[in-house]
Amino acid sequence: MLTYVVRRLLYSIPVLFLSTFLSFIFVSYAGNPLAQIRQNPRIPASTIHNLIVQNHLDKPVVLRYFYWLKEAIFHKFGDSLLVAQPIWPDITRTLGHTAQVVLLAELVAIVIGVAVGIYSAIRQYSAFDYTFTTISFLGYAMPTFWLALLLQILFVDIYLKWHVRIFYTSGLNSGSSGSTWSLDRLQHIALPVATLSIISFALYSRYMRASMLDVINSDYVRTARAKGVPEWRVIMRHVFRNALIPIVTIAALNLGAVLGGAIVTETVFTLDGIGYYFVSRLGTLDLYAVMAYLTVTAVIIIAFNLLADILYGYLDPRIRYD
Amino acid sequence: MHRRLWLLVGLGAAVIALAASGSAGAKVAGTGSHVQPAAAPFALAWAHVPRTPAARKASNVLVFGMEQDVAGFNLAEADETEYWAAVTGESPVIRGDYIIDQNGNYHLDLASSVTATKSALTITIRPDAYWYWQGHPKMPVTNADYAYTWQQFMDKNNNVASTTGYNQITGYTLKGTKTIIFHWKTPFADYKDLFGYIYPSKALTGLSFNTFWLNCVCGNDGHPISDGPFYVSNYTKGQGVTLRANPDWYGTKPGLSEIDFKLITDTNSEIQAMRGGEVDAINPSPQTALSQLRNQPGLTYSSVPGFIQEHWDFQFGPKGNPLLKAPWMRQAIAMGMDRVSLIKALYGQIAPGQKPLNNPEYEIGPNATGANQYFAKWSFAPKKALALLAKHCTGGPSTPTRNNTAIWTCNGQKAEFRFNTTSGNQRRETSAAIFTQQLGAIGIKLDPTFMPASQFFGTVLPSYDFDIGEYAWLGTPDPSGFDAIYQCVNTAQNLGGQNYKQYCNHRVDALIKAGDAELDPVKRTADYELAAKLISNDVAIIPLYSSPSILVYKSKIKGMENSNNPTQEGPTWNAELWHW
Repeated sequence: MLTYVVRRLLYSIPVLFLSTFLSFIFVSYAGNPLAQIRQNPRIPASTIHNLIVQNHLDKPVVLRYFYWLKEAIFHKFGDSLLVAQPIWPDITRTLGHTAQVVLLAELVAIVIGVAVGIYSAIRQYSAFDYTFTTISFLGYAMPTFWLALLLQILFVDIYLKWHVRIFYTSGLNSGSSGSTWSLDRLQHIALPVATLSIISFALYSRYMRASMLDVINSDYVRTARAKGVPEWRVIMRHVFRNALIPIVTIAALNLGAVLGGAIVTETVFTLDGIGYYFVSRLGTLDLYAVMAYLTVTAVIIIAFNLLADILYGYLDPRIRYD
Repeated sequence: MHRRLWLLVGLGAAVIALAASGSAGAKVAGTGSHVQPAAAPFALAWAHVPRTPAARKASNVLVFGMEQDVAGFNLAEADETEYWAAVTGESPVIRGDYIIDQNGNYHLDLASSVTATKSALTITIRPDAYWYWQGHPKMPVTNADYAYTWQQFMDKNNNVASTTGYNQITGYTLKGTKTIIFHWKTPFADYKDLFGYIYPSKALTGLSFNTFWLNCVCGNDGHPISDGPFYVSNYTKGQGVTLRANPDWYGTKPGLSEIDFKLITDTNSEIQAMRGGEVDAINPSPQTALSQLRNQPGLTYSSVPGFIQEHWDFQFGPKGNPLLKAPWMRQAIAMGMDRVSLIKALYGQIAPGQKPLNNPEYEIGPNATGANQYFAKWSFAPKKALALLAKHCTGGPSTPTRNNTAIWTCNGQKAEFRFNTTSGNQRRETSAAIFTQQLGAIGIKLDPTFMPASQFFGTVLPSYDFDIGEYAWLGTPDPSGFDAIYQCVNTAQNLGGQNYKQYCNHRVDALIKAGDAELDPVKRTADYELAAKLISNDVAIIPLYSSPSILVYKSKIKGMENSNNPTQEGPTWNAELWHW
């Protein structure tokens, strides 16, 4: 197992190098970061010259990549392209906020999705099954920004009608408590968590239902029933546990993807998360901040892919790593 | 296997807890060598901010929705010139000679007198102006601060946003501690826009212009500094800014003890936050969805024309369609466009009554005399346009016809033009759709191309490779902001840097030059007005509309009646007057 992990980690180094190199080339050609500055006729030539020299914008793109790589490795991604803002504190801060929202959302989605998936499989083709199948597809198909806006309007209308503040519609805090797990923070992140949960719930409930149906008809389940094992025990001990294995893999992969930033959700709710950070930096063509985001995201995805593989082997003793 | 599963669940819980503790440690942004405010994280800074408007009223606190984050508070730095940095960290915090009101009029502020002659600019600082520097005794604002500010602008190592005007100063003489005489090689008539903010020289000792005030408006010890009605007590990246009343300010005592700017970047979310009482005021970018707030009980909705001029540029250079060099063609295009219908479509719901611009320079603020509507003669008149085209061209329609396909041919050239503008901008897409249809009805074909702003502004405009382009100019009430737009292009003399249309009229050039050096405001205005008239006669551009500036606030807040200031000062220009 250890050899396998080390090998996978070593493989990921060239993957990371290549992905950052290609990203750097593409992002560099996406636009001229000095275009907006050049538009302003009042900006003196000396300022433009300073910015070009300070940011190596007069050098070939390939060479600039290595300047960036040096900064990334030795100075934690260095500073933003034009404004001398250090990037690493921004990344750690925003990633922390994203993690809080995304992990909570995934937890809610997994718990509800798995429960609904189990019950739908047990009561296949029942009214419950049809209802939640419809809800799942709706959740899956609904555009995130639209769902987010609907939730915002709903809770503002509740506030206006009954003067009860259940949830806030944007930001991370409004006061009264600075704690991460304060009621105030939870009231702020509840709607983004709900938005992400509804979408992920659709995914998990469908997978869980399909996985349960695969297992529920297997020989060992039939044997257990023939032996007179109570039905709830058959479901929970023999069906549920085995059906959960693919869900763990999917959850690990999904988590890696959404940790890279729930871009739309974070933007609509103005959450100071990494997805929002990426969008705002991309808007100003802040190449170095965008690269930092892409690198961190790439690392997260590689890590969670590896985690998914390891977990699969950990949960299923039949899997062996060479 | 089930034991493994539970272990996994435990691991998941641990990860969530870890992530939570990570986000709990969200610190004031930025570390290292940059000077930081001695402020708590946002959540702690906001710990006492009441959640409801009623409670905020009781505590004298106001929460303001802020649409964009701040890259830095040093507005003179080339990359930190954003609007919200000015609204939060400049207008209410760092003052200058003048402050510009909601009508674009300049009022003496930090200076008690400013006198410009052909050889010098003399500034006297008001005697009661002091720096509030938290943790220090109050210090007077002195002429050394002015000298330091000028030196910062002229230092070639500094990434300054503009040296215009400052570079005409050759040196200075200090008189006492409150008067400074700047000597210039040639007078700079727009002197009121110089020294719009003054740096505290003592407090900034040892700091670099390119990096100070990235995350605060503070001295070299990280403590807030201000000579305005408020000081920045906290800034947390990605979340907001807190202002507190400055006890040492020379003006009217602020009516609020605190203003909290909460970052809400999405306009729809901003609207919901306003409806739901999460914020007390917003200054959003103009979008149709804002119409929801117009008639909302308990809210006051204000809309005024902004200093943003949306317009069409015609290409006069060799890369443009030669037909556009003919004045009659430009006149016909202008008369074929119903600008009123465009404005109704764009802003009818959120800024009713908005009119088309009829002057190639700003006709709002002090310029809005009503007598300078030089472009009005080219207003929508499709029959006149057709008559004009029929004189010079063949093959077009005889009457304006919807879905017309007959295009005029003039001097062997079809009346078909490339129309370039930025993509992802709903207003420009609407404008292209409406005008393509209207001009098509009189036999002129537009071929719209939408492209990323970086390509449009970075490549297409500077290479003069377009026939017609739509974009906006953003400026100050002073007409000299248009110099680089209408001057004949002369790279060697750094003239006409923004004249992407390559328009050139030497009479206009001479008038701009005269106006630029004329210190008599009456004569100066006359120079610029005549230039505007000539530009209108030439149909060098088609002025379309000015984007409205919107301010929505709770009607219970007093003192905000004149706060919708469309200049760079923004709504906080008179924040000291706000109160519940």
